[in-house]
Amino acid sequence: MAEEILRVVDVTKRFGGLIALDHVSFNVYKGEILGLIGPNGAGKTTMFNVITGVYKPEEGHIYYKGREITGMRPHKIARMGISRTHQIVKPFGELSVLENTMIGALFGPKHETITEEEARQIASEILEFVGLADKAELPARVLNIQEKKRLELAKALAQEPELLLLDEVLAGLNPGEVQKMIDLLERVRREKGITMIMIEHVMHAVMNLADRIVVLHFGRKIAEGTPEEIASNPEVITAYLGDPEMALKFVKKLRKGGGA
Amino acid sequence: MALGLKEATRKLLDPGSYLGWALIAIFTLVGVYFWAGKISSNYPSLLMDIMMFVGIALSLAVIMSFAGYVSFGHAVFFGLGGFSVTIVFRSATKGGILAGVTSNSVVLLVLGLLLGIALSILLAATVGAAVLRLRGAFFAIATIGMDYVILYLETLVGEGGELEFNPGYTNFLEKTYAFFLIGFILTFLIVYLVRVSKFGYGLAAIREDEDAAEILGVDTTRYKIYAFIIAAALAALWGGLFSWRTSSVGPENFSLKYSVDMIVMNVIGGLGTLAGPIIGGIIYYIVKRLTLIYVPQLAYVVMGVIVILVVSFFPEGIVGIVNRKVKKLSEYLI
Ligand SMILES: Nc1ncnc2c1ncn2[C@@H]1O[C@H](COP(=O)(O)OP(=O)(O)O)[C@@H](O)[C@H]1O
Ligand SMILES: [Mg+2]
Repeated sequence: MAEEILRVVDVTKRFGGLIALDHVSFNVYKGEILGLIGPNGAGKTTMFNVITGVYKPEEGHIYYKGREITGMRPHKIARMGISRTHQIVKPFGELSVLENTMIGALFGPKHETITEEEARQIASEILEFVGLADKAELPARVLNIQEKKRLELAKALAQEPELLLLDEVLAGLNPGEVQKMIDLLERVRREKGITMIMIEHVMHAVMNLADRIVVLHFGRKIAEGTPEEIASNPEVITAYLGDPEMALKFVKKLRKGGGA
Repeated sequence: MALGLKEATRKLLDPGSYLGWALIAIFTLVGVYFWAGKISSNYPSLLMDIMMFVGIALSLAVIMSFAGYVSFGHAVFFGLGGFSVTIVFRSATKGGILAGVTSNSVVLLVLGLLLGIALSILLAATVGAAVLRLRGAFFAIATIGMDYVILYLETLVGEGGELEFNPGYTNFLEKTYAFFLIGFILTFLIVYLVRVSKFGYGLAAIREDEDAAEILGVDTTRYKIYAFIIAAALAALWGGLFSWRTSSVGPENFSLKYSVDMIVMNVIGGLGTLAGPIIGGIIYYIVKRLTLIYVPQLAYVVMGVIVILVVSFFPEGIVGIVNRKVKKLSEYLI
């Protein structure tokens, strides 16, 4: 595989008595999309929070491009080239869509040299790219959920990151919107070549987009492999049995795989 | 901050600056007539009031309106400015440490202002480092603590009463008008450039969602402290000028009531904008003046009702409403 961009080593994160992450390790390689899945409460979002510096893990280390970033402040990590979207969208409500996106550009890895004009230019291009150009002047709070998800993506992309963390960007979208977002993510990979970690509940999306998948369950990593390996992993299926809908999807996927 | 001289100059010609320039033009014009002895001191006095009201509203706006941190301790910096000017003048009289060094009142005023600004920056940096970790109501309540502590210190030195000084009364009002005008221009330039710079974008992001701002690369801790320091320094400047004008400082200069007045000006005008504190300061002054003339007993009642109405029905303030109703104006009322 390609060069390693992120290395998560033995990370443990506790909230009081609850172990949200239990000695989790995995690598992310340049250019790939890594799917991060698991039932609700498995610790996926917490993993993102630990990688981006929102939480400091009690144990373990995180290396980004060979440099330890464990416990660094979030803004420092963002400026090194790791950007993320939030499961619960976080628009700057009273600011315009364009300003929201400009702030992404202004404070990203290029923060020291970028001018406001350049930031505006980048933001406009990104809004075009994610399909929000016609909403650029509106205050972000008036967007609908689909548009807010796109704005999350736009803000992160405007930073011109090397590693992009996507936290359930498909959640809350209708099937048509899901497909559009998947197409958009395909384009991010193809045209921008950004490495991504993608937390997702929409199974067919992860199965299609991800090169590899890591499965968390109760804070532990229970499996890692290609989508095919994951879909046929008995432990993964058992983990999802608590979530019948999800288990069904896995079984279907298995059957499809077996039938072909 | 990340705003080059060239870019700053260009920004100073943007439509968003017109309101400020218009006021400066009016103030200067009136000043010219006043200095030339063509008009009495009535209008200049009124305009000095307005300059100060808008000036202090703008100073608080940097932390409250731009960054979203409502400080009830702002009068502390205002008082500190006045206190410093007073102390400098008093120490230049016989027996004081500046006695015999200089008796030039302009030099003493500048010294006093610089001392006040320096002390305020020091205080804002230390107190800010602690209280700016708090959010929302907790921050606001913590800043009330500043009012109490400083009030106590001030009464120790001032023995509970007013401290007066002699600023030298030749051409006093003419000089005062000039100092106020310079103070106003400085305040406007600084606050305007904060508003339209990268720093201003960062503060807006903090106001809207601090966690999201931090994750997006904004050094929130540093930005908040810078904003607090700038706000404090400008408040000290106005406190110093005010004490010069009244030739005194007293516990009232530090009082929570003044802090609340500044908050009210920002709320009435509209939060998150530069035009808000400008228009809010002017309206606050006009309402206060008129009520004191016509219904003095009800002055606070009227202001109270206005505040309740604005917060309940027009939380975006006057500027917010105007911008929503008249889209064309929003380019000017930034
Ligand atoms: N800030 C927090 N304080 C306490 N518990 C938390 C916090 N954040 C997450 N948790 C808990 O950690 C576990 C993992 O949460 P999370 O990472 O959000 O799961 P996922 O994203 O996989 O659904 C859950 O039990 C959740 O309640
Ligand atoms: Mg989650």
